[in-house]
Amino acid sequence: MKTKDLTTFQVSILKEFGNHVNKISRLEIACVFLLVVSILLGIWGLWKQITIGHGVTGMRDNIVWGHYISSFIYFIGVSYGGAILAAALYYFKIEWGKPIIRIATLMAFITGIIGPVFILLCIGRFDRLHYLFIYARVQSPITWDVMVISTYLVGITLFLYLLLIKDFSILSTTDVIKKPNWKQKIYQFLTIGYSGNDKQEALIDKSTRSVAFVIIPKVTLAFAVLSWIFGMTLRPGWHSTIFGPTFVISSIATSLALIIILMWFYRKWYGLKEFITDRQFEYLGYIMLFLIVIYGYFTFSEYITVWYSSGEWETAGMQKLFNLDEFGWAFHLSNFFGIVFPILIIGVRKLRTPNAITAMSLLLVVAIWVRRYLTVVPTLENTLLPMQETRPEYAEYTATMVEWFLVFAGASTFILFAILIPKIINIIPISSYKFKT
Amino acid sequence: MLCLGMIFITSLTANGLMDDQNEPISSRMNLTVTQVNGNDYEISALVRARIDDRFTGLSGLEVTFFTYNEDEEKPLGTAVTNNKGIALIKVEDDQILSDTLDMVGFRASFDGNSEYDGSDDELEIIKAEMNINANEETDESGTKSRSVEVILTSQGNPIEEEYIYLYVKSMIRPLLIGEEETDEDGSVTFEFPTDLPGNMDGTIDFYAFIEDNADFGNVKTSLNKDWGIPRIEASPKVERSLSSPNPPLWLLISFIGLLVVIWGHYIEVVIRLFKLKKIT
Repeated sequence: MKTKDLTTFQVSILKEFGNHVNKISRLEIACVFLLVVSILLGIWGLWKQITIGHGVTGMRDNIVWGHYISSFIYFIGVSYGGAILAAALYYFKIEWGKPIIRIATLMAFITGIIGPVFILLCIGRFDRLHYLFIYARVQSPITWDVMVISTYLVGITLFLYLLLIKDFSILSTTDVIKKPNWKQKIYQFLTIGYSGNDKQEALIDKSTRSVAFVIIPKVTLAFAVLSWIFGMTLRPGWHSTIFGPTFVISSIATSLALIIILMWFYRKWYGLKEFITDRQFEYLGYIMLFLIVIYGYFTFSEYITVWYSSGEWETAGMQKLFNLDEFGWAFHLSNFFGIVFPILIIGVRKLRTPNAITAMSLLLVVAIWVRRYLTVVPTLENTLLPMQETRPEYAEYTATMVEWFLVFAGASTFILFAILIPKIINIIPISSYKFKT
Repeated sequence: MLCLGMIFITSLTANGLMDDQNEPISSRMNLTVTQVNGNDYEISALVRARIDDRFTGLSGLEVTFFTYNEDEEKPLGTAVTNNKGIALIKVEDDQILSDTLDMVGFRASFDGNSEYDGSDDELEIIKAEMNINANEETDESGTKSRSVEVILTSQGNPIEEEYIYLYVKSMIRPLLIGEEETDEDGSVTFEFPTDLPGNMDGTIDFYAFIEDNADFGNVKTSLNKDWGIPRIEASPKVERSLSSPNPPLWLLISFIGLLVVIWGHYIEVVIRLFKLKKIT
């Protein structure tokens, strides 16, 4: 699509994009530097783990999962949430959701790649990784999860690409912004012959809608499968019918929070107030309020049921979470910042501002990660069989520096992509905004 | 100078130039003979060495077995020690040499190699015979009772006050049925249970055994009887279930069906993209 085919408004968006693409501030350079250092520390930790073995982590015979699995389910859940939101906004043609679709899809794509890396960190024998496919057991939730995540990653990549193809065409042909040769080649390659004629546009729109349509039930199933890895295990704390729905709701809420943070950051950094308005923050806030209330109800329902039934193992597990000498502080704080505080911020009209919602989202994002950790570790510390001949230090899990470095490396990778991607792909979809609304 | 000298000597020792680590380690051999069913002999030689303050069986060593009497010695064969350091051969009665007193001599020898010194052991035993008879009776009420009689003799004479063990062969370890002392007739009777699981055809392999007798060594005799409860053959067809290798059909169809539908859709979209350029 050539510049002469673009509307005035679209040209203005392009110019704005050109401004922030070609400039890299000192603050950005400093941030990138720090993030790269964090990632390198993670790579060092990984090298240590590969050469010495999993003994460098805090995982032992009894508590076999820790930070890696917590981060895996966290990132994958967030990815699924972003995908379902983006697909729904696109498919139902929600007008106010236009600037959010791309941000949500990008977030879903990046977290969808980071999440499975944490699973690979947990695997002791990489040389047997292919066994998951050649000796797959159809009855196993692990097999379902492997297939579902692989299928999902292809789907989200396809969806992202379909969303971007029109803009790649614009970027490859326009002369409004100056591009280095390598970017020009990338844009041209990714355009795959799209020139913007009506038939091509109709084909792209139809394909994008069909992928968006399929994503919604597929991701819902993917959510279910991920939660069934825990829910179908006969462990108190996991074996609960409400585990799945709680996981789904909390993950979508976390995705929303992450999208809000990204929106706030891009709006501030790239001056996108015209596109990312207070209205988007408010509407996403309403959706989040709805989800958080349900999440709070599910959480309450789960624990009151356990408490009332007084089952030995379930109660022991619950006591671990409520005991302030064990996981009590983390549990209560994560529930406060994950449920109570968001309801307060969004529920009270005076507090419902973009800045407050963003700050609340930041806390929620951390709180839900802690909640994922509390899903995994306390249950495993609550052994079902007597731990005979087990060293006392194996009875509890404590993450090591290697694990922390790798978790921070994962988070840093996400932030790094969030900073660098707008240098290549415009955050505001030019092709979607023909005229100012 | 003295310190330097001590350091030098210590380093030589550490490098093995002065210690005796390169000399062969001395080995020991223990010979055991089991008389089997009155006709055969199982001869085993355990070759060990003291390594790191522990006696460890030496594997891969060739041991030569001999039989001898007061006049001559003849080789019986060779065997190589297994990972527990045991070399085993089986010979028949007509291969061995005995003397006029029915005393049989056995010798085993390991010649040594660069790592271990040679060792040998010898043992003389008296031939013994152990006969085993299985008896079954049914009383007036129809209840079956089973007993196993074992008679131990040597040179036609009963051997009394000798402990005999009755075992049933099973998959992992032999099952001990009883332990009794022979009477003045060299006889002992064991009550045999009637509810033991047997092989596929309902037979049971059991054997009587005396162990480490100073005169006779080990003596063993076995019998196979149809006294076991036949094992029901597992159905060759494995039912489809969550816990079997074959998944439930509905699960398999759903799983494959979903993957086919979703991936089929992806392939269709990708094909459409490839056709994009041709659309004008």
